[in-house]
Amino acid sequence: MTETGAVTTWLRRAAGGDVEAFDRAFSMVYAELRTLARSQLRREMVGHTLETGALVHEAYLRLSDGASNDFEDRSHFLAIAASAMRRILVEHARRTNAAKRGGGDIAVNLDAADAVLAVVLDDRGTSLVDLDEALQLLSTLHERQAKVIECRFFGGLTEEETAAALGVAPRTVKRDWAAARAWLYRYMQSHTAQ
Amino acid sequence: MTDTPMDDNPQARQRYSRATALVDDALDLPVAERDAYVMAHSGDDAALRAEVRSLLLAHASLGGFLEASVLPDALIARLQDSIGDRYRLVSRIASGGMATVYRADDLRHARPVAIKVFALDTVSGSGGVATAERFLDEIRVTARLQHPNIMPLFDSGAANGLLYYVMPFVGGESLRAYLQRTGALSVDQALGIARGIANGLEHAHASGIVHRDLKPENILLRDGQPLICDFGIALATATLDAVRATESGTIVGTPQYMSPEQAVGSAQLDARTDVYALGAMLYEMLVGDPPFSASTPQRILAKVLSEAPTAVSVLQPTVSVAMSDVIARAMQRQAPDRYPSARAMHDALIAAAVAPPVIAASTIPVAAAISSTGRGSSRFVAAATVLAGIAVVAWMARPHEAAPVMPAARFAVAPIPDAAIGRAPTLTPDGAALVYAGAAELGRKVFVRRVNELEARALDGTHGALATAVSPDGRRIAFTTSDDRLVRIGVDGSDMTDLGSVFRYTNTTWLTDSAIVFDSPGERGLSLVSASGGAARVITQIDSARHDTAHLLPLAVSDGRFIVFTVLRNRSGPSVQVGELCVVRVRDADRAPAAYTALHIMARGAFAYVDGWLLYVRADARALMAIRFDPERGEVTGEPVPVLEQEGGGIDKATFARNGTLLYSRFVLPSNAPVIVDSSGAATPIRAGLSGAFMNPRVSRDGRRIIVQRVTTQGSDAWLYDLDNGTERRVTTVGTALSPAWGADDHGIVYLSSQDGRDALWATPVDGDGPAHRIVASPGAFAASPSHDANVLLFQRRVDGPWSIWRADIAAGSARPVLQAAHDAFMPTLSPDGKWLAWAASETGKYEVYLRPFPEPGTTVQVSVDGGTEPAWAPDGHTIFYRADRRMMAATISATEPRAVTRRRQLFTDTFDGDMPMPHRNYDVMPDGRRFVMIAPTQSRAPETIVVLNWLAEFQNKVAAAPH
Repeated sequence: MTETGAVTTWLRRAAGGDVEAFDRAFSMVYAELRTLARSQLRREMVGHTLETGALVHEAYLRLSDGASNDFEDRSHFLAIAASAMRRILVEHARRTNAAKRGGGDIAVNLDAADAVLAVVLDDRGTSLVDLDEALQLLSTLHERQAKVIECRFFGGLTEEETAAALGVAPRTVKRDWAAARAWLYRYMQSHTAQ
Repeated sequence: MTDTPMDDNPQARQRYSRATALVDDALDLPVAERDAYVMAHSGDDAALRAEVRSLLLAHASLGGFLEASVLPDALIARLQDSIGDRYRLVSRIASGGMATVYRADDLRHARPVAIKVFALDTVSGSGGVATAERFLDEIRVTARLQHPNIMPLFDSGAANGLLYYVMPFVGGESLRAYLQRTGALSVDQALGIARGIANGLEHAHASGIVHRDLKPENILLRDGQPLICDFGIALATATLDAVRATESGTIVGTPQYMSPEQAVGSAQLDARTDVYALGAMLYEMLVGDPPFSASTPQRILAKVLSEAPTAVSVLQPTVSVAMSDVIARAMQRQAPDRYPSARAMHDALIAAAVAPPVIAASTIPVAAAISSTGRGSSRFVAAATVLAGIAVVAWMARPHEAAPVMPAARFAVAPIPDAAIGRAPTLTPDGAALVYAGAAELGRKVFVRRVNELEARALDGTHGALATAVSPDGRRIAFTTSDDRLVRIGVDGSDMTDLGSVFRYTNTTWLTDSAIVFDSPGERGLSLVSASGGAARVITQIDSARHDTAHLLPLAVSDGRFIVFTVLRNRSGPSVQVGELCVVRVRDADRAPAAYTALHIMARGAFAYVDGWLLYVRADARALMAIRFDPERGEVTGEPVPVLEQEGGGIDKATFARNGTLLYSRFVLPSNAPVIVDSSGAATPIRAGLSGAFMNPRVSRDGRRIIVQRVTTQGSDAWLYDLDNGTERRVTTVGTALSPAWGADDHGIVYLSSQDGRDALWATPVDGDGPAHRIVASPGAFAASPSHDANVLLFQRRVDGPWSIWRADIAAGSARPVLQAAHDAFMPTLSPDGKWLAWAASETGKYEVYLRPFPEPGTTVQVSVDGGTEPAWAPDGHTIFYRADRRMMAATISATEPRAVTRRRQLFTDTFDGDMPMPHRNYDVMPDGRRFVMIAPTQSRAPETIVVLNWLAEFQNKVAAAPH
């Protein structure tokens, strides 16, 4: 990685509200996650355990290159990683849906990274795209609630990690989590029925 | 709408924040107090109140929504760790409650499996090991169950705090999903499913195993056949649930399908508990709603314990009272009042299904009284009488709607003049339409025709189509063409794609929605090609050790895991179309052809897999048969049962659609007769009353005998007719003899046969009894023409690509090409002096007759203009006859060099059978050079297409009546 370590700088600036910094950090995390997904598959193929649960955390270790063990940096990173994962997964879902609609053989269209991601998508392909749209709408109503969903559902973060990433109390994450799920559930029920 | 705000709408944001705050607070309160809280804190803002209530309602139904992160979670890593050497996880199928189901590959057996995982530590903090042991003990008991209607259990285990068990991965959907999609089912359909479940239950009960948690979620539908899942798991998970239940105080189980004794926590649960649940499920299948519904599980249970459900026939007029009564009895509150066993209920369902609906009217009061004991009986009786009256009327008025077991209705599909049904029509999987290659103005096209309509739609660009197959999802059609291509097209005519070269008379079938299997009459067995194109790969290979000659008529079974097909063998049976049914397991990973297994059934071909039964056309073509086929092992069990018998004619191809419609073509062997035709076109039969399937007549040099190919139920052989004394005699008895021709003299014939497993030219004497002997082997050889000197034979042959003309040198036993080009060249015939070769070729894009010196090639002369095939020499060697578009023609050839055509004339209008389907000369010239022996059609040879609506119930009755 040519910009090893730089990610933490961008992350700090992003945390300070710098939109450009966020984009830089995001694209780095995004690229790294994709690379990791590929290597995960390779390792898995030679018989190692599939440790995809550690994907986001490993991406952080590689990107930060030990430059910072600061918990806040890490939390910001995780929040950005959650956004990146959301984008990767939704893009993948869209592509899978398109392939399904086109009648093509999905398996042949997946590269190695996609194959790992397919581990988690499968039947949820369609609803992921819908969920993404619903989340966009929710963020116009209540941005933090949408972020909580992003961190927990797409980023796989715990309640505590989410709280740290968003700079709020765990209790708030819990409440946002409940309300946002109810809102999304209702939205998906009324917009994706049949 | 409140939830579709515009971007940057501060007012909407504010309102949502207020609603969210109220939701937060309300969620902290006990359920019973929430509404009052919302009332008190929303003031007179009715919209806010409605929004909060709506969100709270959504929250109450959340279940596991979004709970598990979409990211590969810790569970997956732990699971993969535990099972890594045996299974490789592919994807998460579903999660909910305490279990998650993953799709995985069984590495050892190369099969897809589903793994259901319980995270032990999320359930109980202590006593994990003991709990796991009890769980696994329960699971293992059920592993003994082997039945087509029970989901088998492959494996189970505990590791890393996880409990899991492994089952086959089965495509299809749960009965729950299906009901949600379609609502109430037709009586036939519901009954079919209920009977499958009853069969599975009976088997388990006989082993002393009770399911305890039957519900639509636990029934998987595959090909319309129910598979009961999670057998005995209820008891196993109860050991896990014990902790959770006591902690949360909630009720464990599924109240809608729970028997009263189960609801009160009785430990004495037997088969009758499952009978109750089956009754409740059948109720829901027919009505569209479960028998009891209420706002909370507790209230549902209260109803289960105190009420009888409204009779099904009251709610659903298409259900007979007899059927309704069966359900009512199955759901009796007291177990002794129910059917004692699943078998008894199964039999009662059949009896109710065949009871005529009219009788139901007289039994209504009794039935309603039984099924509504305790509450409001008289009201129900009145309602039932009225509604059932309507039902009978409705049944009579709408004979094609779902009525109490519709009698099967048979009819022949009316022909449409410009869209005549060609070879092997098929049904779309939903049974709504016929797909076939039909005669269109410019050759055959693919047609799609609704079963009950007199219109057919031709798909553009499908010229030359020969045979069709529809994909399982009903969206695409594969067809073969007369220029030897395999093509795929959408049912709507879109997205046409060439998938490569195949033999034109290939049979195709869809293995899955994305792969097509086809046969080859040659030496290659079955092949598979992706529906998106690419190279085909060979699945089975002709096994010469088993004397295979062809692998034909593939049928995909069990979501494409198996292919059942017909293996023709040299000595396999009475007819060329009869072979042994065999099965091969299809594995994605296989790159090499797989070994196949014989099913020890002689048949024409398998055509459907329904409810665990493999359906095939019996060897004599007079009946459709069914035999049980185990979709896991790929084996047949039990005895075959005849399920449809056809009087008169035979059954050719058949297809069966999911809606219960059967379609088959009823063929009458092409009926025709050899005749002598004079130069005016008048025909005289060679023998009075002779009628059969004849082709390729050849007259002896002395003009007294005719050798002709005749197809009977014994196959195809050469027959000899003596014109002097009117006798007939079968000369060959191999069943595969094609295109016989007189040899160098009038005492022997040559013919093509694959009688020893290879395509070869054979010779046999017709007088005396010398043995037949092989002249030369040559795959794809056809239609031989002997030369004047008995040492050279000309024949046409085709393997891949166009037809070519070859010569066999009999003494040397070898063959070499004479004419081989990028176009078809066939029907070679040598002049009486052996010095000139005439043939037909498609060099100009149209078939024309040509002439050139033989054996040394010289200048080629085109004999016909404007089309011509089937050339034959007149005995004088100066006239070539040929056929052109319903005209019999004669071309006079100049006697001097260079040879040229000096005259062409039409002899007569040609109404006789021509050279289809295989190119050959279908007539011969009598020695006088003025008369011909030809083949005259004696009756229409078009096969009839028969549709049988509602055949499923009839089929099920037939197989149910068969001994188990």
